[in-house]
Parts: sequence; C-alpha cells; structure tokens
Amino acid sequence: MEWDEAATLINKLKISNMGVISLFIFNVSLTCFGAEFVREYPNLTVDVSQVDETLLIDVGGRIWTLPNNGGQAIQITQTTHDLSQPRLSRDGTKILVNANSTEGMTTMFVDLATNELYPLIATDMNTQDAAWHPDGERVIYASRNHEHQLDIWEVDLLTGLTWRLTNNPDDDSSPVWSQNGRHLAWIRKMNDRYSLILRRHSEADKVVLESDLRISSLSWRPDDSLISFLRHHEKKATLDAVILSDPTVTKTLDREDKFVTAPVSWINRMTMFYTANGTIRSRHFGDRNSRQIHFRALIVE
Amino acid sequence: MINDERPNRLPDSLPADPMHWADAWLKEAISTRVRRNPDAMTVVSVSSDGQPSARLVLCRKFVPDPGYLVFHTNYQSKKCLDFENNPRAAAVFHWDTLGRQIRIEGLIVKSPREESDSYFANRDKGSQLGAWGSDQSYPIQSKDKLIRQIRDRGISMGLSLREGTTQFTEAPASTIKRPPHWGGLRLWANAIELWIEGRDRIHDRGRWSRNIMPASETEFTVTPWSGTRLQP
Repeated sequence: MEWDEAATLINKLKISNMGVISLFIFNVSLTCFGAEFVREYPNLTVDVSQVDETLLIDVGGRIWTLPNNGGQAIQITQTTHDLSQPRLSRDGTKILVNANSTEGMTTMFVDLATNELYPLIATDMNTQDAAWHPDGERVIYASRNHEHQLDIWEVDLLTGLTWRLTNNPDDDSSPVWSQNGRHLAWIRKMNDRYSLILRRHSEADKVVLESDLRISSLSWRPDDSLISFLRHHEKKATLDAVILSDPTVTKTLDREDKFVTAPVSWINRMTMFYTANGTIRSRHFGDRNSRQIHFRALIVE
Repeated sequence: MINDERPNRLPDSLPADPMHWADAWLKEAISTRVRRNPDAMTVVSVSSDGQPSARLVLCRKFVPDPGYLVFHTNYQSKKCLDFENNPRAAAVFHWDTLGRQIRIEGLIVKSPREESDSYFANRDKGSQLGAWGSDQSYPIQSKDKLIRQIRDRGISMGLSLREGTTQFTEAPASTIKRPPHWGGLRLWANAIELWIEGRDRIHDRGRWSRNIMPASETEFTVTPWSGTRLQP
C-alpha cells in the first residue's frame, strides 16, 4: 500500500522536477534511492498555524505541514540548510527557523511566498530563542553581549532595525510576547537560580516565579491567562504553568511525557500541541493524558 | 543624553519608504517603554482664521503602507472643528532618550465606522463612559459638576455607579456602544521628516514628500515618496 501512497505523494511534491528521482523509481525500493517514510523523529518540534490550524514540524532538516488530526506530512521548504524548530508568524506568511550549516547555527526566516531563506538580522550578532511578535513584523530574541551575558533584543524585519529590551548583569532568555502584544515574559538566570519575569504594559517588571531547577520554553495561552513552561528535573521535564491570577498560582500540567525542549503551541485556549519521544502530542487543558497525533513524512535525500 | 547603542544617522542612501522606519521607531519606543505613553504625539490643527493649536494625543495605529496614522477623539472637539474647516494637520513624536523625532504632515479624514467601533469596544469601561459623559472642549463650572454629569449620563444608560463617583459598582452587563460623536481620525501623510540627534547638534535629518489624492471618504491614492537629506 505504501508504494501507491509514495507514488502519489512524490507526484504531489513534484520531486521529479527537482531532478532527484523520476517515475521509474516506483518499481524499485524507495530506500535504494534514499527515500524513507518517517513516523517519529528525534527532537521533533511542532507549531500550529493560527490561520488554518495546520501543524508545522521539523523532520530531516526540513519543515513540513500536516493536518492537526495527523496524516501525511507535506514538505514545504527546499533549502540546503538544516532547519529545525519552525515557528509560524500569526498571518502564516513567514516561518522562523533555526538553521544549521557549515558556518554554525543561526536564526533565519523563510518567506513562504518565495520560499527564500533570510537571516534574522544583518549583523553577525548571535541569536537564540527567537519568537514572533503577534504583528508578524517583529521578532524578539536573546543575544549574548560582549560580557557573554544574554540580553533580550527585538528586530523589525522590514527595516532591519534592532533594539535592546533588557540590559543587566544576568542572563535573560526565552522572551515571548503575549497574544495581544502588550505583555512580555522571559526567563532570567541569576546565580544558578531561574526567574520568570513578566513585564506588563505600563507596569514595572515583576518576578512571577522562581525556581532552583532550570525552566525553559515559555508559551502564552491564547487568552493570556497563563504562561506554560518546561521545568527540567534531574531526569525529565514537567510541563508547568503560572496562572496569572492575583496572587499567581503555579501548577503542573503534565509530568508523564518526555518533552522535547520547545514551547507548547496552543490551537485555542483549551488545546495545546507539543512533542515528546519523537512524536506529536495533543492535550486538552483539563485532561490528565495526551494523545498522539500520527503522521508520516517521506524523506527523499 | 544620546544613546550610543543606536546608529546616529540615517542610511547614506535614504530609505525609499520612510513610513516603515517611522513605524519601527514607534515600535521600539513602545517595546522599550521609553516613557509612560510612548505613542503620545503632538497634533496641530489650524482654525479657519489661521490660528494654530497643539495638543497631545495617543497614536493608536500606525499603518506604514499606504501611510497613515490613527488617533481618537470627540468629533465635537475644538480640533475637529478646525479640521472641518481645514483638514491639514501636523504631528510630532519626540523620544528624548532615543534621540529621535518624527514629524508628519498631511490630511485628516474620519476613520471608517467599523474601525472606530472596534477600537471603542476594546477601551476600558471607564473610558467608554467618559466618552459619553464629557462634551470635550466645552466649558463646565467645576470638576464636581463634570463628575455629576458623567454619572447622570451613565445612570441614564442603565449603568450602576458608586455614589458620588464615576466608578462602576459592577461590570456592565451589556456593552457600551460608541457615541456617534466619538471616533478615530486618520492622518494621511504627504510629508514626513525623520530626525536623529547628533553630537554638538549635528543632527541627521531626512525629509520625504509625496502627493496624496482622495479615493474615497477615508482612503487616498498615493505617489511614491521622494526623499532628501536636510542640514540640521
């Protein structure tokens, strides 16, 4: 059965136009030609489109899309870079990615209208933890300064102008704008202690959580009522959340899955997607367990 | 004080579309919270007898392409009377700590109703009540009288307010509709100047202009920007 599916898929992908393989390969093994079906993938990450609720995943250094209830993944990037951790802009026109090449890892973005890959910033400044502003025109990120400490910066993609949002002797990382673009959260590391900082519009910065364990991968719920994050214990991470009530409440949402270190992606205020053990998982906010979203991706070398 | 982190000049070849630069400067001012109201700008109107007047308003929307900004006001205010007679306006943003200034000149039109409705619906309830309760720019004897007027109008709309104040005793059950005399104004830019503070007052200035022609009640067609560098 998979031969027919592969043939159909390859035709869809117009791979023959790439000069890599042509129709005669359907009579011989896919593997001989470097093609392989994948149903799991190490360090897989997922993001959900706010436009059509499809999923984006990274498999084999490429970015793929698939329905949010699973199924066949379709490759949407064609580049020599090894791409990972896709984050789609809210308008669905651009994807932020980590791009690995012989020159090292950097943050880039793919313009889906042209499929062109662009560096996030024009200078050789290092970038990490990049995330979209909801306006789709700005990207916030962390960057090491001359003293090797991490600060939070922002870049306007149209003009290339950048500006710094934090400047202190500690490490500031993992910045995320709230869904309404008015509040900013990030992680501050000071003397091996981690804090979740919240900068609400027109208010002073506030520590909403402190932890001796490393925390990472912040994500705002769509109604801006809580921030989810990963807390890294000795052997595994738990998915926790700070509920932004007064006072704030911290709770563990999931301690079963083996999480990949990446933010969860919310499709609405009740449903989130994330990856664990190389699989895509979906979880209703009130449920104890997650369910696997099955997918297949045909990787053609 | 000049911030040495930022470039102290515009690019040698001036940007083709200065509104995108202005938009990025405004975003930076908001993101970095340079002051309590980083989107505050001075807007100047001119009366029919040629008397200019200036006031601060908040720029709630900046649309670099096709190139206008939006602020909201009472349509019966002094500035709106001025704009009815003379739709030309000028606006200035100045962020001292960033060492930047934006000057914009152009024509004023009312925002489409839907845009005003959408913005009004997202204002806090107190501000919504204030828009109904205040006859902007008209005289009143005292602050107490103003509070009573706002309260009386709120109560006549079925709102429940604390005794002697304009504060709600409970969240209004129904939405407060936008008053017909309150809404957005669009300033369509036909000239813009970007200014960057320099040492010894050797500032960098770029000025751009273009033609704008009315296409509808709220829209204009525009020609490309033409820019030139000015001496400080």
